Amino acid sequence: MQKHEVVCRNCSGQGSKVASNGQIYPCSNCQGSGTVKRAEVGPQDYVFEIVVPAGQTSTSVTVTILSYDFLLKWLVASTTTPTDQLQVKDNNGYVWSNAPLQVQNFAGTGPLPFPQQPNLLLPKNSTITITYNGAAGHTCELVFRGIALWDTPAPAPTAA
Amino acid sequence: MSEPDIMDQAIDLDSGEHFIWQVNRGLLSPLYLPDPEKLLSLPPGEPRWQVYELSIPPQKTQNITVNFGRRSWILALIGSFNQEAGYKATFTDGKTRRNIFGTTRELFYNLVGTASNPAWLDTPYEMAPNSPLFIRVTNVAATTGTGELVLYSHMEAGG
Repeated sequence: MQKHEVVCRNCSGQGSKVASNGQIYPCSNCQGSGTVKRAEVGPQDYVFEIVVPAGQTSTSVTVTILSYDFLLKWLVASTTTPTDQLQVKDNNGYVWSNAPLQVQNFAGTGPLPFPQQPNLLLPKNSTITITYNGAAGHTCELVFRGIALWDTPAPAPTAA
Repeated sequence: MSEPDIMDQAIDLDSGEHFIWQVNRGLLSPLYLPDPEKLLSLPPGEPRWQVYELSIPPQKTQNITVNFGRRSWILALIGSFNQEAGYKATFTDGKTRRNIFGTTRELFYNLVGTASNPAWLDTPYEMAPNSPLFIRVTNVAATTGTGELVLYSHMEAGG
């Protein structure tokens, strides 16, 4: 089973923790490396279907990350108006850009996707909100393409 | 305006692995993306798209000052413009006073692409906290140029 190296959630990638008495000790989860290898459940897509309603110039779509942590690896979009603009916000309120940017500058296409580097780990049950600015009737399908990861060690394969 | 003064005094950097562009678009090519070890060695943080709209009359220059706030690493340049040629650009690190993407002003056509084909850096370029990046874009065409310039970067957590 393929494994993916991701930032350790226990120490936020620092490789160490601070005890209540101020003493610094190595993170027990990643043994001080700051990263852990996690087994993949399989490939997964999160799809944002965007349609700007009649009489409006903006709309928002929110998607919830489901049962598994999601490692975002590619950004892909299909739209007839690649100069429409969008902005991304996570459930912590962090906005990914200082201003809305054109779809064609945010996401690639299926044959030429934009690699999200470093890969971004989106925790399960978190949300991503896309605010899309375009003329009424404009449509866009934005895809977050990546890998679902097991939280704990993957289950042993069952006998056939 | 202080930006032109700093940029006029900038040191051109004519070599160094930081400034090698990744040009091989083959998705499995190790020559396309930055070195994975260098990416993994970045501290925990968040992705950041710094976006700047351009609208430049013919033969005019637009100056942009970028301030990331937190310590950040520029990973790729992305952009789209209404004409493929006709722009020249200079990127100057306000702290080191170096022109960081080449010794000459290069056409945007040769410097950036859209998200389907962005210009990745071989090594993430570190910007110090609150250190400005000065960008000077000149439209050398005979018509007004419009477009969008995006610095795709990684911003250290903790802001």
